[in-house]
Amino acid sequence: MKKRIYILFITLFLLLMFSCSQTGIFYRLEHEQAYQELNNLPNAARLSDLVSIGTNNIVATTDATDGYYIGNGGPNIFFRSEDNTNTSVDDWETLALPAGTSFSFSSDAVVSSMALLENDLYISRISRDGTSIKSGIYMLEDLFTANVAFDTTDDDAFTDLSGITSGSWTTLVEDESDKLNTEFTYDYYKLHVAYDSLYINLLRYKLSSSTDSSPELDESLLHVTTSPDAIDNDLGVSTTEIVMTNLFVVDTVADDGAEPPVKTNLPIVAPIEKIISADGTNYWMILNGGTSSQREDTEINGKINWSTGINANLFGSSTDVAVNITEATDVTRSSIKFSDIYEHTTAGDIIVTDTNGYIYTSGDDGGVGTWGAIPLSKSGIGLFHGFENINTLEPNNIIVGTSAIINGSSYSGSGYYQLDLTDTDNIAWSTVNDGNFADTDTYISTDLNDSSIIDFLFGADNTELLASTSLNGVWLNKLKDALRIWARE
Amino acid sequence: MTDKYRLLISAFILLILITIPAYSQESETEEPEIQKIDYYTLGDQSFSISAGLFMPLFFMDFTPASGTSAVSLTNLTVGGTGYLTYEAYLNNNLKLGMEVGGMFAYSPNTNPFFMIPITAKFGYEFHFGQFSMPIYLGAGINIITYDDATNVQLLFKPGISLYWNYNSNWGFGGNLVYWISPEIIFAAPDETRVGNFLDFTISAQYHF
Repeated sequence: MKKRIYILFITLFLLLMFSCSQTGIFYRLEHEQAYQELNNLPNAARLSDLVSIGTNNIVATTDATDGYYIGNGGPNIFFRSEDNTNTSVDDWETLALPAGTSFSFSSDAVVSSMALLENDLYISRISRDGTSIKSGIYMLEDLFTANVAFDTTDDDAFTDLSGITSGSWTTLVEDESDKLNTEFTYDYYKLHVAYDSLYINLLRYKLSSSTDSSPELDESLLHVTTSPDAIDNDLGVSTTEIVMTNLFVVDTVADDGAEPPVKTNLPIVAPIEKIISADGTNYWMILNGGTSSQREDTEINGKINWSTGINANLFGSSTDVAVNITEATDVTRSSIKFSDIYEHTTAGDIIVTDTNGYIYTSGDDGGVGTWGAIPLSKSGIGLFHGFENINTLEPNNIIVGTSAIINGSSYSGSGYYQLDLTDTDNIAWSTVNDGNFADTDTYISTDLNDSSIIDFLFGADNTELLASTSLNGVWLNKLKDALRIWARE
Repeated sequence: MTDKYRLLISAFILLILITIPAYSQESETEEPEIQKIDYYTLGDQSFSISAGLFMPLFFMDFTPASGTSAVSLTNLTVGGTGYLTYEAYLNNNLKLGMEVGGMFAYSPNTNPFFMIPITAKFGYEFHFGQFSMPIYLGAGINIITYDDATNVQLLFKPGISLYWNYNSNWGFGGNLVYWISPEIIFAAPDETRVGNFLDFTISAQYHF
């Protein structure tokens, strides 16, 4: 009997020792604060490609008209007016979308990507119904015209997005594939904006039959233009094709150092992950690929399923219309992918993240040969994705979002972390304000602190920050009673 | 001594001998022996079901930072609790038992907070006619869940109850129980807290 009691107590003790969470639940409750529900956006709304129009051009003394926040919600595009007062509530609305010119989109149409170039909004849309797959690129022009006259009247012109109709959109490109054919291809467009150019990544997928649900990527073409409004249903008009087949990966193992370098894995047929240029001089592009396993990534319940066995490649160019973009050889990694890239204009540093949960930083001259030998990482973080410069809120600091990842290991999102770029040779995790520019109690009280971040957006004269998550909606950070608090949109 | 005196003395002695037994009998009937009634004995068992209110009181921090209070609000709403109890009597007053229950409350952001206590109980029960009043101490584990976090901790539950025994099988009453739930976080010692809660429930008890 005594022996049984001892065994029971030992079992209970061991259960306690190995069952304790790493986080204090009581501590969390003690610090929890009620967060605000500001607007009418659904709590599970997932907005990507966040852009703002005119919010940073507002002159407080003369302009009473609000700018807009716009986000791609998949089937719908949501927008709301930005408001400079803290008391009013602005509701999100859905933007009327183009119905199609040479065809009509079916009811399952989604916006596959969205980009803002100057004051023109570009979207790509696609729908799949029983008989065909329809896709296209559309433009909404001149959404904001700033008044440059130095007078006190308010005559900045904002297009009233509530008044937009499907006919307000200009059709740039449309493609329709007949699914009734035995084998057919369809076009899928991904839009990127870098400096003053619109990049159109044309992804041509092949299906073996009308019931085939696993499309194979057959071609990945890249076009660039500074005058997208001149595209006349033909990407050959007013755009320049960046020849992707000229991209190569240097085999550093086989390379004996002699010129030309040994090339391998040609060509790379994969979606372009991201293109950036902060100064219009140097351009960077993430293009993961280079093996026979090049299937499109999928997202399940807010977690990204990354393909394995693929090389992560970062390409650099000194011109956006370069026909030959050569590879930055020092930043090719095997069996992982690069997930995001950021150029800090103040520090001149390039920051790249990968699917191993690492953050790589270049030297202060931007030279790729000086990548940080010891990449930054955080225990338990799947990968980092999404950057925003918060220099106006916390000098020399940027924030980077976390993202959940599946594919063997399963990680949950963990909100965002803060990087300190004061010493550009030693970029490190920020300790300023305990590494969080926002009030910690309200941050940990929200769903944001364990969410996967899709995108950040600064608005309202760089005093408000939007954070969009995979499964927990959109959050707004603003100043309230001398505290920077997070509230749900 | 004359015969007359002998006769008187003999009669007196005889009278005494007759009355002493009679007196003794009267003593037994005038002071009956007090008898103690045992309501329960070893082997008697009971099963009860309880439900009622759960009141979060405060969190205690035994190593507060300078300038901060050791006692803080829980920020939880008043919630509900319920549990099932099995007890076995060791004798008329002492009993040993097991209890499994649950509670819920809400955080400021209406997130649900749950605790599932599993405790062993030891109690002493007073009896007052048709009423019984056990006082007891429960000790065991407490499974706490909040959002996506789960913790298993020690738990102590001292309490007192008052039952009205309707008949030999059924009793009804109320319970007042104090929860002492330490949460030790080895990875972050400054997050260690002791939760203090109070529950008030009503019960139905079945003896068998």
